[in-house]
Amino acid sequence: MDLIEKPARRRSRRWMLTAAAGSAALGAAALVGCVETEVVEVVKEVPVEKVVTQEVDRVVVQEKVVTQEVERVVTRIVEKVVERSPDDARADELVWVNGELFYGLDPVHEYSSGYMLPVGVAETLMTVGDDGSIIPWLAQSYELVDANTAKITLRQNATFWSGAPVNAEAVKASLERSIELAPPAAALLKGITIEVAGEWELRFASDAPIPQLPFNLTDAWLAIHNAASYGPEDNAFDVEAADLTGPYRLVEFKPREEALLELWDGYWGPKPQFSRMRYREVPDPQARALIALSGEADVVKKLPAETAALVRASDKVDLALQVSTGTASIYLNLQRPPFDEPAVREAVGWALDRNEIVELAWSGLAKPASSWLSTNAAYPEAAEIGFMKYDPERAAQILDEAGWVVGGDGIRAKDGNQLKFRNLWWGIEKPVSEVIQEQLKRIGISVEVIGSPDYGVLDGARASGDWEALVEGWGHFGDPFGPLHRHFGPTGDINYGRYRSDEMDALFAQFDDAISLDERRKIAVEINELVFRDVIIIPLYARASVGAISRSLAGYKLPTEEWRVTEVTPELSRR
Amino acid sequence: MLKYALRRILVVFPTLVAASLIIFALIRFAPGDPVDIMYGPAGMGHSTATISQEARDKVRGQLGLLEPPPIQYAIWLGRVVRLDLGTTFKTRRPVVDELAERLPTTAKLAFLSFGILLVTAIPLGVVSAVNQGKAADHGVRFVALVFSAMPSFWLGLLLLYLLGVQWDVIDISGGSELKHLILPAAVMALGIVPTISRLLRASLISELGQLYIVFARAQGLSDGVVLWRHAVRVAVLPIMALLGLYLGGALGGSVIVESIFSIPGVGKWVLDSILGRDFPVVQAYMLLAVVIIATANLVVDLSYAVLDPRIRFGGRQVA
Repeated sequence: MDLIEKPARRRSRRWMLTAAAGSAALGAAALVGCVETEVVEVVKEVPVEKVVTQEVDRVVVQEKVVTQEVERVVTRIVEKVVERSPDDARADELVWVNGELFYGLDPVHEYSSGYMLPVGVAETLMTVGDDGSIIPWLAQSYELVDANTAKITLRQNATFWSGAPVNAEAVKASLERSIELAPPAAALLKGITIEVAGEWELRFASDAPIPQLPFNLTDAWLAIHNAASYGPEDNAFDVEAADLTGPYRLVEFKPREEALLELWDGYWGPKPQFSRMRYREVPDPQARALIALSGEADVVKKLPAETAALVRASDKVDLALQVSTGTASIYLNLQRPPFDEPAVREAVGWALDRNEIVELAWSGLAKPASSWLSTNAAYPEAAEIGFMKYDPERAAQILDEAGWVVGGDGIRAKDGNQLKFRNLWWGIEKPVSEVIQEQLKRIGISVEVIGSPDYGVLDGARASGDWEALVEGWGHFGDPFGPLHRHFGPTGDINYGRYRSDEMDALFAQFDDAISLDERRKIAVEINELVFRDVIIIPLYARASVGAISRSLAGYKLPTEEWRVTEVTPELSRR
Repeated sequence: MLKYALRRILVVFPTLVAASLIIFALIRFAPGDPVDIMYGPAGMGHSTATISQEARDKVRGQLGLLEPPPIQYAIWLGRVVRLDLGTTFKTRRPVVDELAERLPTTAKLAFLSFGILLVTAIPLGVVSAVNQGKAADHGVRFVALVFSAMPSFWLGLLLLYLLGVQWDVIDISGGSELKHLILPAAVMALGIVPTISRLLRASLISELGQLYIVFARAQGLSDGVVLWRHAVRVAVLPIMALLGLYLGGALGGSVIVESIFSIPGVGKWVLDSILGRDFPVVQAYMLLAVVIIATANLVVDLSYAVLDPRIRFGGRQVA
């Protein structure tokens, strides 16, 4: 079912009628080829509107021209019908395939704006630059007035698809609507008040320092939308209400299937080169890989790592490989055996061969991680500490010294208890868990691998406290304040193992008061060191995002950070 | 016959209530919270926001999850009686609307696959039975063995690779149009063709040895008439239940085939809903599945009477 009306098509039909009426009035006949009406004494011609109708095998260009003559104004229609091949039809349409399409059209709806940003449908006030720095997007400038106050000046030429200006009132209304309707948006702007300081100026103020605000404003949950158009409730499927700012506006939307996007003439910035984009949801990863290999799509995202070799060998597509700024780790339950014992945690850390894990479970595409922040390019010193090498001898020695003795079955035991634990996985982490199981068996630790693609398995186990270890990955791009707090802070929601120490509390107390980025960075490095020393979690690797880009495309640039920048740049073109 | 049909229809209602209670209990007591899944690591990479417990509870309240489970069940059952299946957690749209969008595609796929199943399995079974022990029988048996050993996900991917990548004769991207459904329907059908054709073969061989077949031949009826009008008609009876169950299952959606061929049908929708703990969708689907299976069984039972005169006239003779 098409939930979105087709304004462009309606407009085309209207223009067809206008064209016919205009042609009749001027006594012109529309013929295949080029039809023009002769006008005498032309003073000035102003093309006022152009409509392009594309079909599979032809393109119709209708151009309305206002002609000012000596005594009257005549509207004439020029219609050109250009025969075209199916290949040409594809030439200005970009086909984008991903495992998921945005769920709805409202940025406050789950799993929506996160998928809209990369394809140029929605935008945020700030984004991530090529060098990883936070730069203005819909904002023209960002200025920290003092530790607790920031000023944002908006672009005066930006409008929503409806033509309504993206002014301070509209942005305030958008952010406040997101806070009201989307819990993640409320969390990102917690404690911050937003004031209109001028038609194009906003002030963000808080009782506490807000150095993380620019980064938070890159989050897709804070995508700027026309709140007046969407209304006071989550309005994810009201086609008429959808009013955003990106260069591509929606023409058709079939939830969980396909969206057809059209280049929007009123876009404030440099426009992408493709006049249309087709975004298809293909849930099966293997089917996505086949689509990539067949050349049916231009950009295919979220491919399984094991298909990378096929993509590399293809003459139709190139591999687009991006290592994420985040770390997949073994999260440990520090409240129960065996990980309530620091020696066991440390031994497991040294007993894991991260290169082998990456090679076997990720086809060599992921990046081994020695410490939690080591996969973040902004923290090169974090890559110099941690589990720098695979050292099973050291692991065995630690366990020997702690009294864990290898038994007849090859499994270590102490005081009658075997050294064993359950390692939970979900999503795509099963192969990783199996490699870990095999590696730890080598030093006498028995691991039971339990999991499912369903996240509920982990969720339920954690809620009951009946778990020992689990594998999960989290990002830490940008200001590390949020991720560090969530993982290792005393009340962090991802501090699954309930770690707490005086030293960590003191570091977070400093962190909360730190304003300068240098100071915050220094504390983040110290927290990372403590995470390694106390082995709160066991870092494994940075995941790789595998995609395929058609060789018919030129100018595709890997995003500096997925979900926060658009990938359909003006440089992207058909060769 | 009418009384029998009515009795069977009435039995569906208590079955529905019992099944709904069991499914409700199973899904509510399964690990995993819909709100945590909604904003949790499933969205990893999209956001670094920390969502407070209060905010999560607010959403739970909006979804009606703060009530005790028995109350939730009673509220849900009350709505169902008024033909209101509720709204989905994920999209906040009426479940009926989403079901109505997907069911036609799944129905097209199911009936197409059922048709393919009939036009392949029955002739294969007949050819195999008529040529018992000959090359044709061995050939059919070999093909049946090969296809029964192929999981549908593997066969689907293999066909997509050959037809879409190597020979470039189909679009892999899929869709809900009929042209996109032929290959997936064939994949669904091929999974059960070997079973049906082998069962039919065995049944037909047995029927061909019956006295009524000898009698029919003695009457001078042609081989074709004896085979199709008498033997096959009766030999089909043992596989009717299987065919009914297959059609019922296919109408409930095929998760694997719909995922591989990117078909926006019921199966994929329900799988997403189970993983996301979208309770209203799962419960509505369960009701639909029970109705479909019960209906399919009823149709199968009634068709016995149509196909087998012994059943149709049995009661009257006794009387």
